[in-house]
Amino acid sequence: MTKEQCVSTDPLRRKNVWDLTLPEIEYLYSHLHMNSYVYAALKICGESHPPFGKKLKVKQDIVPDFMFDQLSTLTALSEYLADEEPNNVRVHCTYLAYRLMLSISKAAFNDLHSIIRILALTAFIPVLAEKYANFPLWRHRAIREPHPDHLRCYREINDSIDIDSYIRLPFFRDTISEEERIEPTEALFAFMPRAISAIITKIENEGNSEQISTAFMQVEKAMRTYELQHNLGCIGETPLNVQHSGQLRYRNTLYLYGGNHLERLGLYRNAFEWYVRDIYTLHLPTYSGFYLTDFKTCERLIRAFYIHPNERDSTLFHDLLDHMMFQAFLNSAEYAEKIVDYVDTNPEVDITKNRLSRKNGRPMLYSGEAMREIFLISLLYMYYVEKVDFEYMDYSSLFEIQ
Amino acid sequence: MKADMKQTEQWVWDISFDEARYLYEHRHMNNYVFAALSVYHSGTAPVNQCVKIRNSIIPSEYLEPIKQLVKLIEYFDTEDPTLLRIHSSYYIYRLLGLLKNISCINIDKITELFSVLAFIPILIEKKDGLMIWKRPVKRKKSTHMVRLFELLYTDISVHDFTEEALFNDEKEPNNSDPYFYISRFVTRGVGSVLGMIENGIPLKEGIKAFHYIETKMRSFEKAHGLSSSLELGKNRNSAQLRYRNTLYLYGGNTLERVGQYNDAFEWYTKDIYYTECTQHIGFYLTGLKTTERLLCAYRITPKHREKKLLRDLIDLFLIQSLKNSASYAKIILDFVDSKPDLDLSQERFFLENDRFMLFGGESTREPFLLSLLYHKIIHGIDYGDIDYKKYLIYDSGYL
Repeated sequence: MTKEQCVSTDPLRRKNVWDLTLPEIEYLYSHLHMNSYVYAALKICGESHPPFGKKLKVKQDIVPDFMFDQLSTLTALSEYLADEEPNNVRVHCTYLAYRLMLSISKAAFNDLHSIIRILALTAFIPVLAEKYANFPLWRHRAIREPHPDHLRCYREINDSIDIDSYIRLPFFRDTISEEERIEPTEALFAFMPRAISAIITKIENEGNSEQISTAFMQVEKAMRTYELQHNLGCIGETPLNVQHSGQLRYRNTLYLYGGNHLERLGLYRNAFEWYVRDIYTLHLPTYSGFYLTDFKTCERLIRAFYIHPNERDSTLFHDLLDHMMFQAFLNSAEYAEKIVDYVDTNPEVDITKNRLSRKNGRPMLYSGEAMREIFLISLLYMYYVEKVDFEYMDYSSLFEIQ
Repeated sequence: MKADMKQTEQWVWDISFDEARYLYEHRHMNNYVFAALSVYHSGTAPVNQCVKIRNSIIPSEYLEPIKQLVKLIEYFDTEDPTLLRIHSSYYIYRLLGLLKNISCINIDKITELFSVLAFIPILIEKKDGLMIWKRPVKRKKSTHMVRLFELLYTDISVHDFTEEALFNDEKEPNNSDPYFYISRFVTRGVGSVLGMIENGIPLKEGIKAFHYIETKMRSFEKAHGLSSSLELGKNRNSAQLRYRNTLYLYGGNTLERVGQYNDAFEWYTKDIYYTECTQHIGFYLTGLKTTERLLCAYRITPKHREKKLLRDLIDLFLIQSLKNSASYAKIILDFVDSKPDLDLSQERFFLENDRFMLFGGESTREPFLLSLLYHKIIHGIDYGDIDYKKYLIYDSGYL
């Protein structure tokens, strides 16, 4: 759907992402803004004709032994999707998905492509389990109404942002008071979502593309200046120009969405530069950490890979992407081990929630994105790297459908 | 210059720098040898001077063996050359033994330091008459060499070629291991091609022969169930990497000399253009040779972005090789320290069952020579422009 065909975006303001038609999804993704994970989830359900509601049997000979049992158990849920008590199915699905993630700890690098394919073909189960239980895939409407907090944050993006002041601007429930002391890294973690969500809201509401590009660059400049001032990494100091791997998280936010914007404008060379900034090094996997951050880093590489024309260059680039994917999978398995241990040893914990509360320690991410992103990143890999269109997902290659 | 190159019996230390450069650019000379000769002929290294190290710039964990190594310069003209060389080898292993924690953060610094120190083993070995290249600049064109070269163009099998190659070398043991045959085939085959190149055959003719070797090698590997690429999880990949390095490095060099850069790049990077390959390095000299191939590929690719990741790959190989050298150094030092009666002047310690351990010579100098190559190719530091004063303080008076 082109902009001309989609005469007004007003109807989209009222729609939840699950209510969008396929042309509307394409329009938003290609012209305004939609998270790639959300896009993949919507497309897999809308275009690939997943075999839900049917009894599925996993074909043993094409699944690595170490994940066969866990995959079979998760797959068995497909039969009950949309029929059984939806929340029950979702809760089961979450736990079984972590068991499957845990099994990846036994994988070797050779298994990577099999695992990606298997997870991509299984993705419809967690996505639909959450859909039927009305668990949010995206926490806001397809197009956000500009909120005064967003508008203010956007207005304050200029050529010389003072990050310490910027993060004190009112921002929904996360407003930081003037008195509260914030460490420099925390300040960057507070700054980036404010600035980027303000910009994205502007994109969704059809702001001026040039001004939006400038805003992204001003955010980058502010971030780099602040990092330099606080010894948080400067160009050439370390392979990734960071002091610690956690910094990749806020940089991913900037460079992924900035890259998406440039790509939509057809500025592929610039988009590539943004997608790979700081992470275009084979040393990247040694800077992996929390798996959701790693997946976001992989997403940047996947998008960069997709728009890169040089074939020979891609050999090592592909290698970089695969090693980062593999490392992210191993890190997700490590996290899954903690989750499964905790759930198994604490029968009283409420596993219907997004986060598992703990008596001693911070809550752990559990349902929703923490569980489903391993499936969604696999879908993105299949689509952008393996070039398998969502409509051509071959479920019968993995399942006997009964 | 070409007309002057008649020296069948000349040795590399006897030729001028211009002659060395001619051979390097137009015929055949090993990268390591050219780097060593260049350092020697540039005359910029602080030989015969009293030098001290700048403590502040050298990572403290490496200070002690480097101090001892540098101290040897003082005794360069007064001490027995063999004794000096033995000390040099021993201190180098002490230094290599400390490289187990080397990482992408400090690889650049360590190789810079090694390139500065390279003149010490080079000149000490030269003074003691140790051969940096174990044959004349131009190999004698023997009937054996010509016969092997001609055999490459026939349909002789690798097995028969290898047997044929041994006709004047009865000491070689029989072996049923396919790796034995293929390693010997590639080594002898490449040796005969290089010998013929040194003796004046057109380089294009040499390239043709290299292609014949490659075809026979791949067919043999396929027929004997050896992986056709360095597949993951296969055993003995390190052995396979070793003989393939021989073919693809010298084949690549020859392609580069005739200006076929795309083909040369393909040969330099064949089978090794991925990070997982670092797991197959095994012995560190094989790792360094693999790194050398990647450095040559880096040298000829003009693509900026390709260079960026290739540089990372080079670093990963070099880091792994040096880590492996640390493991080897530990074994050697334990062995030497536990056997006070060992003759340390030897390049190899012979063990039971025809096994041996490398001690002096190439196994000590190659990390330094590779570092010279690294800084020449990656940073463009010419062998004559090494900044010795960055790491060494020259005393005012000569010894």
